[in-house]
Amino acid sequence: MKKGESLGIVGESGCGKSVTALSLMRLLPSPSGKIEDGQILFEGEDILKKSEIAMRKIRGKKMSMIFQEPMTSLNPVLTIGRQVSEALEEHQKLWQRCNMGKSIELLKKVGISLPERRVLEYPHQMSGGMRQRIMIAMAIASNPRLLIADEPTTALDVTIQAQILELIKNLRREFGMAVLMITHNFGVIAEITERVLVMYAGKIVEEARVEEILQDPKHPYTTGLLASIPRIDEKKRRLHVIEGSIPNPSDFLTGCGFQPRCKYAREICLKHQPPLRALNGTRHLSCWIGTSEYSEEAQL
Amino acid sequence: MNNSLTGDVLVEVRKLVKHFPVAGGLFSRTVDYLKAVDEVSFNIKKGETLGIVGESGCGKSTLGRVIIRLLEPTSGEVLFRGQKIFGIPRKEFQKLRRDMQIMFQDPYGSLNPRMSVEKIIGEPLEIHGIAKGSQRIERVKELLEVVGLSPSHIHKYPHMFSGGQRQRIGVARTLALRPIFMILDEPVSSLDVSTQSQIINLFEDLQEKFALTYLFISHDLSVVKHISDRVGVMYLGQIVEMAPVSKIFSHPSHPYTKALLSAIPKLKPDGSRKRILLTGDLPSPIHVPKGCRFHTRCYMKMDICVSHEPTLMPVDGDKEHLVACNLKTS
Repeated sequence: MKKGESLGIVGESGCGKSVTALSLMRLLPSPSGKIEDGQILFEGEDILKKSEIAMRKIRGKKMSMIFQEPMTSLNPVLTIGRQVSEALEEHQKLWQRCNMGKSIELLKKVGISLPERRVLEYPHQMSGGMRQRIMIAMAIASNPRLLIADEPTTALDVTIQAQILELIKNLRREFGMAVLMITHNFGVIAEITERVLVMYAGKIVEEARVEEILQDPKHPYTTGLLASIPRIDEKKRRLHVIEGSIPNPSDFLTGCGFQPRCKYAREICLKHQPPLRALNGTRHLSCWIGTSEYSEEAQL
Repeated sequence: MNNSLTGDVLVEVRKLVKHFPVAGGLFSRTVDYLKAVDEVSFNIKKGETLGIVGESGCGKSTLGRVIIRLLEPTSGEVLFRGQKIFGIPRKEFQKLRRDMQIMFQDPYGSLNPRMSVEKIIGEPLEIHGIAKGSQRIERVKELLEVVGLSPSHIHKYPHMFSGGQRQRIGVARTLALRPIFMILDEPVSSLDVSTQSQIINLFEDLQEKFALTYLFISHDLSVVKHISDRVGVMYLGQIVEMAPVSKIFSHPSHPYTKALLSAIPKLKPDGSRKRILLTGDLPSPIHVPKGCRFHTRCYMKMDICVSHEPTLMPVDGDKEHLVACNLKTS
């Protein structure tokens, strides 16, 4: 991800998109979740090698995250003002009294009306949309370089979703932070991101600019997924169905992860995992179709 | 709407009201009422799919439950094939109830984990005394095939299935009594996109095969547009606009419908249409705003809207397209 970029990760449940996000923050539940291999470079440094203390300086300060459940991510027994100023205290070493003023300012920035009154209220007095705004206020409290948003609008109604997406867009413009948007909703992706990664069964199967993916998807999974969404902007047609179901993450497959559901699968797809190869400067694809190995294989 | 005399109306909803008492104070007295459904009237024609859309808390699920008498109404009337369903003895209602079924959102919560597929699907057959023993097993197998599952699943339990498969089991159960009318309450909302399309296609196939009539309740406008023939938009317990699907999506008339449509993120962003961002949240259904219920969030508000409550009226004389808005009537 580049500085200030807006990247989307899209995929269905169980494809590994949330685990990817939690790994970036080093928030995987331990000991069950462990990063086995690989690197995560943030501003040139491998954050997997950092101590927990050093990590605390990055997490929430340079990188922050908002989640799907604004209902459960706030502490029900603390006032909104207390929780927002805690985010400030941790990272900006401000005194609590100055904090209230700053907290009110933050709430105003995320579009909460009457912030002077709201800081004295508790989470249960707020609606879902307002709680998500408060989560965003806390996340941007220390001007992070990267905001990770994991399904931030999935639990919200469409009119509220539109408000939150607009807010994230405006904040990105204002602060120049990069946004990593994790979602299952292609509409949200089209709305807010520049580049997209499509994930399936724990792997990136396709990477492209958002217009490229929507107009000309290359991977059979992406193509199938886009065709199976009922569209508001198109004439009614029969919905496409991807046969079969999502593999269980605990089942190890050799070869391509999508092969059991792919109608183009050939012998090679069963045997070997397709590498993520570059198609042009911005596009990458993990599929055997179009390679010489594929065209030499017999059809299954 | 007084075409109740024409034969093709299957369900008629007349001024349906459902208020829930809100308890409070020292002795939990009823201090107020939550107005979940507030004077809703419409017809459902035989063989059509009527979609009801609205945001959470607008009363759409309560509406579905009252229509099938899972909840008793506060007032109002529902006629099924011209016959009243409220105020008749339970026994008599049970006969009607066979022909009307409801299906819910949650494929995890709506199937009893201790019952095998055979029991789950076969139970309604037993309750209504339709099939027993081997006859029942045959019918269950047949139903599994109808919904696209292998009959060999008959002795399995719900936890052995994926979300989409569970929803298919739910469909098989609702079909067991050969209903003619089905209320589908957010039946695909908890499913992934690729599974969702399978279930939507299944509903369409079943409708064609068994001449079913659907009341399809959802918050997802794209899904409602796909499956419905007519659509009603609900806001705070009332229907604010109702029209055939093509009209409501091409010429939305109510400011709320317009905002709702513009709020959906589109796959092909078109610069031409400007997004209407509503300010604020849905008001509480306990303290419904006076006048037009939408006036607190409306971007077209006039003085009259604060005091005068609009009723559903035809748009430009079109009896199929109804809207409740002061802009259209004044």
